[in-house]
Amino acid sequence: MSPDRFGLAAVLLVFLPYLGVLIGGTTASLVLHFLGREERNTRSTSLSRELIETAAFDNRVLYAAALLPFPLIAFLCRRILPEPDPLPWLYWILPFGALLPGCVLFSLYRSAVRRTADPPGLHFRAGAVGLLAVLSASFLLFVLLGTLFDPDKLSLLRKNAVYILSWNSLTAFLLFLALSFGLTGGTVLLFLGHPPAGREEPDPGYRQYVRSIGSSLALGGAFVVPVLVVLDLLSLPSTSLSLEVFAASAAVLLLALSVVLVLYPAPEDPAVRPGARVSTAYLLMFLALIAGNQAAVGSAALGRPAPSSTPAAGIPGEERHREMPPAAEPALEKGRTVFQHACRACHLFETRIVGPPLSKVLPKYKGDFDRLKSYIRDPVKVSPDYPLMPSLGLKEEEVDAVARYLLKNTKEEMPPGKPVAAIPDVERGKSVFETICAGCHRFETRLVGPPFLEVVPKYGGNVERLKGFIRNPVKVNPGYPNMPKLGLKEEEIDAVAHYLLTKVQRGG
Amino acid sequence: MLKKPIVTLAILGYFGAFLLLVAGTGVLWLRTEPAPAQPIAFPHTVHAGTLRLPCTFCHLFAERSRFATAPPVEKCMGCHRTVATDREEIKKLARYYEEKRPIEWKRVYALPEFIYFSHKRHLKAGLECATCHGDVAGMKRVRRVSNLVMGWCVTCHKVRNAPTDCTTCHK
Repeated sequence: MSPDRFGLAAVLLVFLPYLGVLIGGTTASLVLHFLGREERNTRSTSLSRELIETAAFDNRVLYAAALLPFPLIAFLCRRILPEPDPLPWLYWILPFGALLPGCVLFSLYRSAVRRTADPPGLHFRAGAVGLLAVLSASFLLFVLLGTLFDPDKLSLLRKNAVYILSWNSLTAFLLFLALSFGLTGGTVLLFLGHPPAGREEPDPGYRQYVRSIGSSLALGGAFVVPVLVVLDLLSLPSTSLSLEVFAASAAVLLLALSVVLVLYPAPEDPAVRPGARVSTAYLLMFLALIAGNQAAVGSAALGRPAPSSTPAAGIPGEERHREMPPAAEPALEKGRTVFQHACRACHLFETRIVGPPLSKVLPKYKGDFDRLKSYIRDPVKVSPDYPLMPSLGLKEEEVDAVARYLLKNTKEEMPPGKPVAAIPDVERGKSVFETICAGCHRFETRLVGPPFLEVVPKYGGNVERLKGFIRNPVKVNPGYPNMPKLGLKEEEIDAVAHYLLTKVQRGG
Repeated sequence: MLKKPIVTLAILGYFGAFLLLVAGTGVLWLRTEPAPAQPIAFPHTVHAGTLRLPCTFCHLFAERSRFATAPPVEKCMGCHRTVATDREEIKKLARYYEEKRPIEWKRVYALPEFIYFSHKRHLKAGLECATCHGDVAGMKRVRRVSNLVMGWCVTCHKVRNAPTDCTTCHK
């Protein structure tokens, strides 16, 4: 698991339960407050006050815990997503912008509740609007997190931002709400309804009332969770599924079952204190879901190209080096590594493996450093006896290093070609040259094809190889077009090959 | 008191049913095999990764036809007549070659028969292989990285202004 994903899971594990209790607590507080006012029920009103005091217990904590993790989540998500700049910051500012006023309104509502038992309706409305803002902020957060499961989407957003919506974000958001209300229920059971130490309980039924509200919240959450877990699994893209995701979902179901089993057998018994167990179960559900989701993010990212690093260096310098420019020893060392890594699988110096032995092919590049480099950069088929060398995709400095290394390790002299035997049929060779080859080739100058003085010497007097080429031409130099197959008779090929070699040996 | 076991049973039944649903989706997912085991454990990590062979070196027809095709065994033997012949998987390969049997690779990406899809078109349009197949060079065993559902095709076509007429793919 990458540190980014681990960090994101850790931040979410702190942020989501807190946000959940904030949302659940405020919602319950607002509802109870409304009911209390309508029905003149003092129990509702005082529980409502206790709830908002617990959920938003301190202004500094409220702002810090609700607002600080958000930029961190945005930062980590942007690092995890495979493309370099996938989600514009604007997308992240929207939910953040909703969360901030939501928290301000919450704190207004709380201070109003704290001051008087019956706050004016305006503050009640402030609480309601704040709740709406925080709810939409968390929905947007889940929409943004949803892109992690389906990175294919990112490219679509440039076209139309609506593509960011998905069923999966909706089910994930609803699941989050169910867990939030459950956890709020657990918190109510754990902390509320106990009179401050040393003070008489004013209303003996109050404790029972608090307990029934807490149990209903926790039980309700536990019964809704399974439906949403299954919907969440069904709406995840198939590429982000993995066994871990299924295991996490099953764990959430078992934990929800444990909540029901803890609360159901002893709903009335005041000696049993289920608060701690229920809250722990809900926190573990948060943990399991976040872990499962991170596993899904991991498998969605599997097989996708990692964020691209710096692009390969361009081909430097237009000037053509005939001789290899001097290089420091480290370059040769690097060349050796590149050779071991890229060439060695198919080439040795003395023996044939897949490709030809290097001592046979390198001498022709002696004194033409650039041509060797260009061949390594962009190999073409030369000899019909060997398979086409694949393009290696080396970086420019690697090409340079390995070309140096190769030339340094080649024997100084070109192996002397066998002296060309006397040719009986010079005239025939000459006529083939004049009627066929001369259409494209001259000895000294370039026409359609390269000048013979440049290309024929590399056959080193090897008539058979030259004949092989004429018989079956292949593209060698990217600077010239493909030589067509000429369809010459065997004796014509023999004659013209001898003619060319003798002519070149004599210097044109 | 009679009520209690019935309610307990109902609760267990409710959660049990959802557990079965989760298990069922899990089994269904496993059966689609995103990363099937292949008859020869061909390492793309070596060929496309370390050696950086271009994809079309082996998948000869990707640029020329509708199908990318798996290479003929002959192609593999071009190098492996001499390279790494002592390895177990290469010996397996050589046996296929000697017995003149094709290797029955498990398909990782398969489209239904009623879909017309052409690799050639997509490459001509300038797509990289990795756009749909992911970073194959980094995969020990090739894994499907796109879900190949119609929405996936159509959204990409929309974004790149490719035709979205029904008959483009449903000939």
